[in-house]
Amino acid sequence: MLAIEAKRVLKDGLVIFLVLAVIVAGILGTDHDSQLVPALEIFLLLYAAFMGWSLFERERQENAGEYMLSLPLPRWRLLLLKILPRLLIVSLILLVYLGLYQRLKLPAILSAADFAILYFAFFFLAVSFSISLRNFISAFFFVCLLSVGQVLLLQLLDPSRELGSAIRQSSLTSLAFPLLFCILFQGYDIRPSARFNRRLYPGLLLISGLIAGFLLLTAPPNWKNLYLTRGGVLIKNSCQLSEIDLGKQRRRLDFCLIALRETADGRTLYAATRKRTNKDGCVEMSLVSLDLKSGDVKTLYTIAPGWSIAPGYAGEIGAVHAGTYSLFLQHVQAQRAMIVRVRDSGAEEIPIAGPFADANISYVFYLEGSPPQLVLFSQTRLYRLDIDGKTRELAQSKSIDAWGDRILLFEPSGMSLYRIGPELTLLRRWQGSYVKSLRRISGYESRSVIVREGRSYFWMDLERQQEQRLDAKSPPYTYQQRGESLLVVFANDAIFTIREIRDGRERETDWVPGFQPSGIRISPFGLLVFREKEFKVYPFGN
Amino acid sequence: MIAINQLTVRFGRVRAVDGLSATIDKGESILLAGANGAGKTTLLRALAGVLRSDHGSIRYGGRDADHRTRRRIAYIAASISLYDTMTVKEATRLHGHFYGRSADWALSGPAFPPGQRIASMSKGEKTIFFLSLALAALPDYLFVDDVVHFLDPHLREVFLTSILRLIEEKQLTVIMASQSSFEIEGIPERVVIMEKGRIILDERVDALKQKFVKFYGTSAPRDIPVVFSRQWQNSREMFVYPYVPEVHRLHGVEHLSLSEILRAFIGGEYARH
Repeated sequence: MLAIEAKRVLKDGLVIFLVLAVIVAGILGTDHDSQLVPALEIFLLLYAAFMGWSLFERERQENAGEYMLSLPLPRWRLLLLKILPRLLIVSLILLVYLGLYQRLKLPAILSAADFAILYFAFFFLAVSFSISLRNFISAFFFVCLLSVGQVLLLQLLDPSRELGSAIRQSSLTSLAFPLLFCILFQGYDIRPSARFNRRLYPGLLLISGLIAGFLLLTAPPNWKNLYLTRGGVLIKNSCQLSEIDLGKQRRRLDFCLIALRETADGRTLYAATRKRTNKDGCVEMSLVSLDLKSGDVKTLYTIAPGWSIAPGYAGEIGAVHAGTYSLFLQHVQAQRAMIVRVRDSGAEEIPIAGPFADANISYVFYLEGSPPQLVLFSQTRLYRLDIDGKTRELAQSKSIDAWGDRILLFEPSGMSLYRIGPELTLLRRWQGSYVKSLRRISGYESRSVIVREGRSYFWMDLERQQEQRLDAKSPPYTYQQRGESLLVVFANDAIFTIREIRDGRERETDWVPGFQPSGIRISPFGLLVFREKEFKVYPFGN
Repeated sequence: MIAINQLTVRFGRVRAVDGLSATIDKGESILLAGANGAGKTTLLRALAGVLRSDHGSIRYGGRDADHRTRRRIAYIAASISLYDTMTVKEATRLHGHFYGRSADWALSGPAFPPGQRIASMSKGEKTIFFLSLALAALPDYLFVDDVVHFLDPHLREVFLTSILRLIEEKQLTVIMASQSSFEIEGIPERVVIMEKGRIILDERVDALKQKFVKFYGTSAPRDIPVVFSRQWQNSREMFVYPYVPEVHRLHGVEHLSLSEILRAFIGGEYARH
């Protein structure tokens, strides 16, 4: 039967080879006409679908269905005997096409691998309709709906998704349809196809629903904010949830992570969780620790209603010191404030006495001591806050740069480097109209900072109190200290130039992420750029 | 032996075979009769594995019917279902591949050129060709749907002789569906009559002939089991089944041929009493 079937299919295939030859001749004759190549691809997809759909066409035409079903073969073997020769010829034609594709470098829409996957998906999907649909046009419509429709849905839900990846996923899930057909074919008999359809169509609908549901549920949300840890772990945040990308596995959390601070060993990340509620909008819920190896999350402290992180840039509000995560919380309505200190063993609340409220805090320095104190930067004030509620003005500044206990204050007459303690200790002062160079978002402080005076840029090591001129034709986009290297990023449209400065030597690398990013993050691990659901990382270790 | 137990086959809401049970011994030859739509073809298709039962079972020699038992079955469908575009040689090779083919057994009928397409054969030729294919595989069971009437008297003779030979030599079990017994007189030794998917009569032919009589009269005595009757000139023709000795008290009692019995059961012109 295999030989007889193969002979017949081959006979039909000869016609296809002929048409293929005519189209290829057309492509060659018109100097690789780019419009004929898609036509060739569509023709081949039509052919694959026809070969799948016409599995039992001969039996239908020759009234041989009863004879076929009476043969002493289990149904699965019968199906295999029918499918195998077709699969063989279909594969042969594909091989010929792929050979031409390689040799002639055809300007095809899809890559060879993606086209091959789609081609076989069309074949197997069409097999699913070989009994139920007498009309090839209807069958082809359904095949397109299930295959191309799925690809379109995937791309709609995830615009950053590559076409090839969408084709691969849709083709994989499409296998459920021919699988259902094969299962139902085990009970197939000579009764009218309506009986077979009564089982097939609810199954098809169910599978389609499951696939659509799966796609909707697993579609990546629009991440508002991405965070890159020192070890390269990616944390994605939307208003409602977070996703931790540990490389081999992903972990989703049904809350947003803010005020992230990583321990020096890079094993743990502390953060506050935020969740949207119908009543109060986004509210802080708890303080958690996140194991950056396993992705396990442990709740360490539950934030009481009304308490929140100061509304400045939350990333600069928390601090980790000796395995303890400190966070400054305020109750705006009650005009109360407190420091919460959490570690794996538990949490400690240190209330600030008396009424306190400051809505503009953007930087908090935690002074360890007994009792602990805070130095708060609240544009344009830098002041000390004791736990007994007393405040004392330390300095006035429009902007600051900080590294550990060092703080660089930008003043109208120059800039001053201080050591932060209960009092400010001046370490060095520079005269001139220095301006802080804008640094795009990082959750990590940088030992070296970049400043500008007029048109000149300088980078300054706050630890070693050294400064050096930075040769820059355009303003630096962002920068990060990584060990002994300072990495300065320049951006020109969607091209990033990463300059590594180390031991007085400089090395530049251009990086093209391939899209215009809407957001950026820098950490000692690398540079992260993102737009909606799309993101790319440039690791500095390269 | 074929054991059919509570077999039900449905087409939508219609039960084409409705809880049918029967046992058929090895070497038995059965005439399966019944009006159109009685369920004969459905029963044969279910026996041949072309239709799946909705309920009940079929066992061949104590084994549930499956693709292995189909190897021992020859089924000639009423539609003479074969691949029409195949040549005689291709069809013979295909059939022989699945069922085997006895070299020393063939129908002595018309010789078909190996290159002849099946589509070019007349219905009678196609029937005898299919029969020759089926019988050359020396099956244990032969199920023939209503096809004998396609054959001319000579081919019918060839066909019937061959079957009789196989019954004798190989103890072939034969079930032939037919509207009448005229064409296959001499073959069936048992008659099964179906109506609405059920068996309404199952008798050995000789016993049936003994038990089924008719007489003429105006009315039947109460102790005589009249199953059918019809108006015949000035009196009524009444059919008695099963036979009771009291019948011989009556006037003009006649025993009937199998064809007449079948006509009474499935002809439609006889009223149920």
